[in-house]
Order: sequence, then structure tokens, then C-alpha cells
Amino acid sequence: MVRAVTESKARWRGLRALVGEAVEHGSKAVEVVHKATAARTFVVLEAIPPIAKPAKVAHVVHDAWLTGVYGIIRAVNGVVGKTLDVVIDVVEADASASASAKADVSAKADADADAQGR
Amino acid sequence: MGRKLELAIAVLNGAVGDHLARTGNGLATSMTCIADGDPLAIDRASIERAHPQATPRIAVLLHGLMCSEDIWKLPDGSDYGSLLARDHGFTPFYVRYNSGLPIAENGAALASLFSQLVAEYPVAVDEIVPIGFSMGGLVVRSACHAASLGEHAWLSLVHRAMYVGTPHLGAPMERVGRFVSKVLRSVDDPYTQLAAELADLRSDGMKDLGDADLRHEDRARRLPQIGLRDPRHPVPLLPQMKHYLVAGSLSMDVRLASLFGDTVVPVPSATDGSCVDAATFALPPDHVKIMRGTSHMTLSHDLAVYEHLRAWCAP
Repeated sequence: MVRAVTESKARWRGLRALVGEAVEHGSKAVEVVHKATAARTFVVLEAIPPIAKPAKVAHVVHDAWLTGVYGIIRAVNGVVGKTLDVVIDVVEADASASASAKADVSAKADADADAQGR
Repeated sequence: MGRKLELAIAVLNGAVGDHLARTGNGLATSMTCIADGDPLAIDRASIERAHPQATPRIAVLLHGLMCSEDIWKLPDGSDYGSLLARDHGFTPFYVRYNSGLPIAENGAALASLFSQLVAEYPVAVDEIVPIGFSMGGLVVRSACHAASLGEHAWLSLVHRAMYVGTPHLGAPMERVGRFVSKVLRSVDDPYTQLAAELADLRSDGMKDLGDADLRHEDRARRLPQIGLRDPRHPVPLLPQMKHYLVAGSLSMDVRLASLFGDTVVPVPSATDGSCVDAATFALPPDHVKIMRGTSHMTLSHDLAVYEHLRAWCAP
């Protein structure tokens, strides 16, 4: 019973970690694609002399904004992960306590039955 | 629910199991024997509890990529292991493993599991018959190869090995994936680069299937080709035991069977090339069976396949 609870806890934590990693790495990969795609347009605009300077400024602001947005996504992902760790701890602690209580009751019943048998 | 969950975890392990193991993720499966759906500790007491009538002949069944031991289940609830127990007095053991790990790693783990099993088995072992389905067959070959180098005593107990739908010469589908990934990487575009990265996420175990890499060093010989036959395969079938191969083929046409086989493994790969190249014919003809009209997954739970296994496993 204890092994099952421990394994279940490890698996929930594993799932939590896997989802967290998917969001972390996925957001980084999408961020790179997002910036590279936007850069294509900015490169064209930055090559036109009258608007080159404002285009460069817009490019920097755009990339900084993107970094911030994706950074927030990763930060929220981290907070959600930590919260889920706590939730898993609490739920599993309850499950362990309940399992121990059931085992105690069962052991007491067995002991009583033995005593009556004697 | 339990079995469905185990299957889902098996699929996940097959896809990214190497990453799960590397990062110490709780979803990573460790190699273990399974009895009645639960892990079986390899110690004398546990084996005696699971198999009160343990016999001297052991059958060890290994599933394939992204599978669990449930893949062996026939519609009536029996499986090749329980049928061999009934017909030839085998004691069956079902191995569950992380099919996303490199084949060599699983082979080494299987070799040590065999050592432990023989040491803890309650009666003297006369014979171990490994039965590998798909990737499981390559894991068996890798374990036997590792044992032959490390002089493991259990190897002398393996007189015969059965391979069901095992890609001995590799799986072209994986090599196509490798080629597509390489093409995507060569295109200087962020979207195709992202697609290539996603394609490369597949596990080491899956990548090893491309050329049937049984040892870690075998990966160095990988070429970006889509050929079926690799004549430089460095790990031949061990000569000290008998090898029995079952291949599936959905088509009766020889050329289609060569190309597509059971839809996953082409017939020449599942038969170690013996059925297409007379010059390298190494196995006696009756050690190779081609199941016409049988798909890859069906090979693991088919009574017609079992009839061959039963005949080959006769004392």
C-alpha cells in the first residue's frame, strides 16, 4: 500500500514536471520562431532610409515586449508547478494517513478475532 | 483504469522515455517483471508467491516499443506465456521496461535481470526461452550479446530465442523520419527548424530501431540513408543458440511484403534478411515463419503465431 502511494506520488510529480518542461521549452521554441518571423519584416523596414531609425527602435521594443510576455508565461508556469507540488504533497499525505488508519483498524480486528478464538 | 494508465505511461516512455529517465521523472519505467498487473520483486519469496509451482523451464516475454505486457493478451485472456505454461510446463515472466531508453541500456538491464532471476529462482533452472516482440527481440539480442562478452552464467541456459516481428535489420520508417528531420534542419526557416526540433524529440530507443543498434557504439555508423539492408551490421545472431523468427506480412506479393511487411517491419528485416538473400541464408528454413495477412501488432497475440512458438518450444 505504501509503495503504491509512493509510486503514485512520483508519477503525479513526474506528470507535473513533464507538463512544466513542455511549457518551458515550448514557449522558448515559439519565442525564437516568433522573433525570427518578425525580424524578416523589420529587416526590410530597416533597409528603407527614411524609416530605418524608427523601425530599429520598434524592433528592439517588439523583441523586449516578446521576451517579457514569454517570460511571464514561464514564470506563471513555475508558480503553478510549485503550487501543484504542494497540492500533491497534501493529497498524498491524506491518502497515506487514511491507508494507515485502515491498516490499523484491520490489524486491531484481526487481533480481536485471535483473542476471541483463544 | 489501471491498465489503461499503464498503457498510457508505456506510450509516453516509448516516445520520450530517455528524457524521463535522464531527468529522474517519476513517470519513467524501470525494467521489472510483472505478475497479475503488479511489479514482481525478483527475490525468492516473491517468485514463490507469484509462481507456487515454479518449473525448471522459464519463458521470458518482452513487449515492443510503446507497449506494455498487455500486448500479449489474446481475446480469451490467455497469452503466449500462459499457453506455454499449459502446453510445455514453462513458468512465464513478463518484463516491462522503458522502451524509450537505448536498446543497449535495456539489454544490459535485461542481462542483469536474468542473472538475478536465475540466482533467486526457487528451483534449478534448466532453460530460459526469451520471447521478444518487435523491439523486445532486439533487447533480447542486446542482452545476449552483453552476456556473451561479460560471461554471464545464465547465457548457457538460453538454448533458443524467439523473435516476433523484430526488425533485425532496422525499421525503414525510423530511417525515413531521420532523413525528413535532416532535410527540415537544412532549410533555413524558423518554422521548419521548429518542426525538425519536434521530430528530433523522439526517444533514443526509437532512434535505435532505425538500424537495429544493439550497442551504444553502433550509433556511430548511422548514415542519412533510407536503404533497408545494412550489410555492416556488427552484431550477428549468437551462434551458440537456436534462433526462431516470425515475420508478418499484410500482402501476398513478394515485393510489397519486402517493402512494407507487416506495415511496420519489412519481411527481410523481420527475417534477418534470410528470406531474400540466399547467399547469407543463415537460419534453417523451419526456423523462420512468415505470417501472411498478419499485421505487426497482431503478431503479439495470434493463435497461429503461437502454434509456431509452441512447436519451437517443445522439449
